[in-house]
Amino acid sequence: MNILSTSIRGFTYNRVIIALVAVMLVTLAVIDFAIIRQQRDSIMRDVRHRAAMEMEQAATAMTEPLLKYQFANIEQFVQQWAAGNHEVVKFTAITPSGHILTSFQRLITGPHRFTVEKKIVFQGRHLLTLVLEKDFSHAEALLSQLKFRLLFTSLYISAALGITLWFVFRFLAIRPLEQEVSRRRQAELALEEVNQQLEERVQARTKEISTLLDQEIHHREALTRLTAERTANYEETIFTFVDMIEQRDTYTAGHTERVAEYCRLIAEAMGINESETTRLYRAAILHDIGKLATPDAVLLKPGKLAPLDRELIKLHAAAGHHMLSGIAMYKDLSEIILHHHERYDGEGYPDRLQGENIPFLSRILTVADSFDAMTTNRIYKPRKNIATALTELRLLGGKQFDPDVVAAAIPVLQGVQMPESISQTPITDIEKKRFSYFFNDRITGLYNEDYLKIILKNNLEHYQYKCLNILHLQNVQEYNNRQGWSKGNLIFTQFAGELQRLFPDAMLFRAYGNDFAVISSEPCSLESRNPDSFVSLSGTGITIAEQQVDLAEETQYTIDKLEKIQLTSEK
Amino acid sequence: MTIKLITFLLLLFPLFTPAPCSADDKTLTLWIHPYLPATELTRRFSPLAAYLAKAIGRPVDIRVQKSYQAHLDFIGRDLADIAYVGPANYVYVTDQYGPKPLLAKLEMEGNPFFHGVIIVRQDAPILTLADLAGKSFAFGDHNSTMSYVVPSAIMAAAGVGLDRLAHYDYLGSHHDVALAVLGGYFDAGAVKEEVFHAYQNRGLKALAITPPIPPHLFLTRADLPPAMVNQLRAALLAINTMLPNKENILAAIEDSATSLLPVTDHDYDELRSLMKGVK
Repeated sequence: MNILSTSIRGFTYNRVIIALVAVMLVTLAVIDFAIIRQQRDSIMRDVRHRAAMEMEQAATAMTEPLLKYQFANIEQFVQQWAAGNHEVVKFTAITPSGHILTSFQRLITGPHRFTVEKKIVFQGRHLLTLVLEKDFSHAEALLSQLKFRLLFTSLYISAALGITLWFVFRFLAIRPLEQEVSRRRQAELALEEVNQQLEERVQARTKEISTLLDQEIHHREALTRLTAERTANYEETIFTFVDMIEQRDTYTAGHTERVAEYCRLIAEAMGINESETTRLYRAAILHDIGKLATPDAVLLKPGKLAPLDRELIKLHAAAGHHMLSGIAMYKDLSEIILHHHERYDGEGYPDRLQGENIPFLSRILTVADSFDAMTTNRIYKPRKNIATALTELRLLGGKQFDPDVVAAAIPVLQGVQMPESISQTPITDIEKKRFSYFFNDRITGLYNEDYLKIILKNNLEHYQYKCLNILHLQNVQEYNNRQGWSKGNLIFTQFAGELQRLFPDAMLFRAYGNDFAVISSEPCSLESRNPDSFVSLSGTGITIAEQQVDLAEETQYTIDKLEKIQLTSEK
Repeated sequence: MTIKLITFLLLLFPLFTPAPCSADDKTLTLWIHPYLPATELTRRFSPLAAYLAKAIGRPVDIRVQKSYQAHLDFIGRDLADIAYVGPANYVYVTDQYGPKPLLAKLEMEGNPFFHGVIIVRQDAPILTLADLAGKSFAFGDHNSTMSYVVPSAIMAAAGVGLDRLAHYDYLGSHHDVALAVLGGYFDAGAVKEEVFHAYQNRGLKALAITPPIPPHLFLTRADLPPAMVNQLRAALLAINTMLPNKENILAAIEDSATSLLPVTDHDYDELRSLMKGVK
């Protein structure tokens, strides 16, 4: 658990103990050395003393034989005594004249020796000198033994001291310390564990949060994408609707575009916030979508509308609301659209709402819609100029329109640029075809009298066309009677083709059965056409009565006049 | 003086006679001079005594004399049935008491003669016997043939009598003499050849060697029946041929003894003449 700290501390106090033991050992060694030295001195003294004593005894024993000249005995004594005493290395008897009487020499000896000399003197007479060399290896061995014993004892004492100290340190001094350290260490570990757990939890939580965040981000991205998609869908759908309207009616398309723009201008002028403005703009774009449900016969009908037609037209507001309210994202637009034909005085449709009850944005849309209707051409109705339209708006403020809206609208609408001319001719193939339902002659494919009336009416404003040639076919009735109606129709067809070849740049009409009209932007030429020049009429007995009308001069020329012409020619 | 002595002996004779003469089966005595302690000598001579007792059919007792002089007198007055005697003492006995029946002489190391040696230290400035004048001298025993009798005789012949020596002494043992000279206690000394050789290497040299000296011999009292003498002589000489006993008997007496040989008085003539010069 705490091996590291224990071993470190253990090492430290072990070192202290080792140092103490070492000091103890050295001290004891010094003491040993002193003891050995003292012992050696003592032993050596003892050994020498003993040797001296021996020499004394020997001298005493030898004196008498010496006096009796018993040298052989002396020699025998010396040799035997020396041989019998293992400590004797050398024993020499030297005579007063310096000669060696006898000498004993041990062959194997130790390294430690000492020598004792004894003069044998009797009554002042020197008899012999004994020189004894003794080996004190035995003493040395004893000393050595003593030395080892002391050293061993010292080691033993030191070791015992060391162990005792170790135990004392270990159990009296270190143990409580260790326990304390251990306790602290455990606390640290516990804390560490807690920290770790906390960290793990934090990490887990962080991970969770991260995952959640990722999910959220993903979610938001998805949402954003979805919203974007939805918005895209929204826009796409709006554009699809717009496309649908355009496909159906070019005029309405341009109209909605302008109305939307006017709405935006008015809304900005009134300080409406951006999102509401956008809502209004979109509602404006789609405000006439209900007209998809309006029959062509009513929608595209030129001229005055019959009361039934008017009622059918009025349905477009509810129809638009119905179409869009089913789609969640257009529901808020549908409400604006539903009420864009309400009147401020409560005389509008479909709910005859009054004043403030009409949704505010609807009120703006009403003004913008009406302004555009006033300022644009219809096939059946020429446009008013902006000033006239604005005056009309002002006059109708508080009646048809919200006066506040009108007040805000007039300054901004004053500056709008209207297109120079709005084409009255059909643009798309469908429009052309639809156009033909109303304005083409069934037999010849030329324009009919209705369209002639519109052209002539509209020409009063613009004077686009300069010359009108009326070709009245005579004796047609007779021909039909003779040849049959189908033949008569074939003649008309052939004649129409011939006219187209003859007047490629002119507008050609068949009106009221036997009359054909050629409207040209070229001024009228005075030269009269040879009636027989028409190949299709040759041999048919049909003749042409031609009348030329200078549209530049006859500025008040109307279809009614034409009728008169026709009537007169019939006569 | 000799007559007085003889008379004295004769007066005593009746007192002693009955003992040796009383019967042939009585015990014979073998007398030995005290050159060694009595017990040692008894031990050494026991095998011989036993042998002789068996050979002659009579018990043989070993007796050791108190001194050399007593030995001489005892032999001279025929008190010892059998006696072992050194060459110089034999010469003295015969000179004083007349011839004795001889039995055999003890040959040492196959040599029928001995030599005495006058020794000095090898480093001593003594080259001739004459140089000994004024020096100290160690003799062995006053009764010893080779450590006193003969050496002093040849020294005297060389002109150095005892009175010309600085001092002299009788040390007793030949070995003591050799060691005394080696140790410088005496300038010179006299020892038998055997001892000289033993110490020669330790630093001794021979200043002079004596003429050949015959060995020790066995003799009987003059009045022992000749038959017994012959019987004893025969028994002793027979030891040479009796190999098993020879070693036991002779070696016991002296390590270097090799045989017992026939002996005559003439063998000691040269010694006798030498000793005459001393006197």
